[in-house]
Amino acid sequence: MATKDKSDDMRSFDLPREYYHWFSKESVWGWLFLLPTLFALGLVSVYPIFRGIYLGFTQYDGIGDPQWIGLENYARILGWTEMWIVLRNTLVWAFAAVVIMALVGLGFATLLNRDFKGRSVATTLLLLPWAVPFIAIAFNWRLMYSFELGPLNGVLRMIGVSDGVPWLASSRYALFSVALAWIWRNFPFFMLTFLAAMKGIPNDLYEAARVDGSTKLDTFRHITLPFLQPIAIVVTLLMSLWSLNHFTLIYVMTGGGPGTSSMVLPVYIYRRAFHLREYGLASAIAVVMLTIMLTYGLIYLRLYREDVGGQ
Amino acid sequence: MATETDPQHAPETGSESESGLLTERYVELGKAIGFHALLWSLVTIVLFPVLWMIVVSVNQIAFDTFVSDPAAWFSDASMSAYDQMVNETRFLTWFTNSAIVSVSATVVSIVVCLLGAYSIGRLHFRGRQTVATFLLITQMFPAILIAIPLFLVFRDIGLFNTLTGLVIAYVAFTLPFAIWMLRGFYENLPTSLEEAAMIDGCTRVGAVFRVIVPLSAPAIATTAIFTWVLAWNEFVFALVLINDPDKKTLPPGMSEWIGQYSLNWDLLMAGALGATLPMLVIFFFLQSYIVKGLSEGAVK
Repeated sequence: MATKDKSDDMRSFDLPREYYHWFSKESVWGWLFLLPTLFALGLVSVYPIFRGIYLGFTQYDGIGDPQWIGLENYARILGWTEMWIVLRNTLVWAFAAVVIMALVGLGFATLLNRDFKGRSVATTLLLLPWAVPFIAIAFNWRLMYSFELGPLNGVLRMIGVSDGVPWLASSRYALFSVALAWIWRNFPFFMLTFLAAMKGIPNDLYEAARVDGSTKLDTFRHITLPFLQPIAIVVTLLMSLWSLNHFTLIYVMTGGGPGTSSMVLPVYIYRRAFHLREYGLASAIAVVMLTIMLTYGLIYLRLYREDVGGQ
Repeated sequence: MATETDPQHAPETGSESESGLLTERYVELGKAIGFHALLWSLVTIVLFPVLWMIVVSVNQIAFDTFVSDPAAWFSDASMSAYDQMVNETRFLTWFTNSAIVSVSATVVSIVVCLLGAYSIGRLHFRGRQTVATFLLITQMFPAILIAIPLFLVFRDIGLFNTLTGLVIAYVAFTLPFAIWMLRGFYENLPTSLEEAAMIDGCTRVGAVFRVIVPLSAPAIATTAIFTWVLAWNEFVFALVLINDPDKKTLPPGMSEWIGQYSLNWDLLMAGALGATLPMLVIFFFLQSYIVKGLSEGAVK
């Protein structure tokens, strides 16, 4: 992060007018270079967001003009039990799953953080899930969970535990099953981040601890973990934001079903808007989601500035 | 730090006759074997879904059957699913559309992002911090909230059902991330670079393209890879903004196979592998860039 903002220095030129800095050469070039970016984002990000917020106060089926109904959509949403199930699922998906992801990543980083033959091969192979597109992961894990053909049920049958579990078709396991695929895809991100951070821990600390007679578990708890904590919080929050927005795996693997047992916000909003043509209501739910993400994102930004920003 | 000894050489080199040292060596050897056994079985478990995808794509077989009689799988293996995918489905059309959209979005996004990242990263002017924060905040907009009005706008101005419309959406969608990635690199370049070029008679734009761009080629490559991956994977906009089956991209197009070919697992897996192939090629050839981006992107 840059803290060396020199814009204050410009005042020291003793300029005739207070706002002269807007016309300094760097300022003109700066805004000129930003023009295409701001134009693209204004058109495809900012304008739609405001129009979406507006739509949230209307009833609109895509034909004619949206009808202003005030807060009615929001009143309807809050009264639904279905909505609370979707919110709960979203929290499981974007927080519980991400914490597990981080723990798995930490485990692998700890395993890889030493010298041995084949280390780079193992690291590369463990990164492979990241190189599989979401649509392929969805197909792949549907197969893993298949009742007849799937390896998971195959193993269960071979060891005689059960005749098979309908992973994706049961309201009890559906969300958990899709979350496992999501964890599989994303743990390498945590693994790499933690590995990079572990390289930054001074070796003397471990030496000193060994002289003091600390066990490996002690050094892990009292040296490694405290060092990883700031970056771990930041990366976990970032991944939570991405998870909140993620659509493909749930849409393709379960469609949110059975019932609403694995439904998360983005898929729910999509169905409301494009299957039921309730654009107004869907936008209102999306505004709720925007509020969650913004709150979350601002916490992230704050921690990011405090913990990593000073580097 | 535990230093692992190579299992093959550890016992032979033990020329010292002292038995204490020898047992210590055996303990070390045991630890090394245990570590490698643990690590490589975990690697196998992680890779297993992908391996199984390949197995089923050439012959649809249940896991139990495969374990009890692998020869049966081998004798019936064929490329018929791949044949069906190429000749009976729209796979190649969607693949082409995906390639067109993701490559054009990446190219446009990188050109726009170069200027933006240069501006935020290297020029000092009032408001650049605000713009940087604004870029981060756009990352917190739910894609689906943008998709609904964007669909209505595109429908009204005739960009609905066009690949051009999708490219425009993807450029805006990938820009903030790309700028954020590249700007960190630009901040760390010495400031005298373009000053020297401008004293030598270059214009500001000339300095950017003759001095800064060549210097940042590796960072641009990393940014381009990540932008391309975002576009290749994108689902929501592609689903909402394209309706015509011949203009669909791979992810929404293939998602319809779930209903249509739900029991043709060999076809589904062949399609999944087909969609993965470009990403795998990039992953293996440009791995160092990706690792750098993944581990530094979040930290910086």
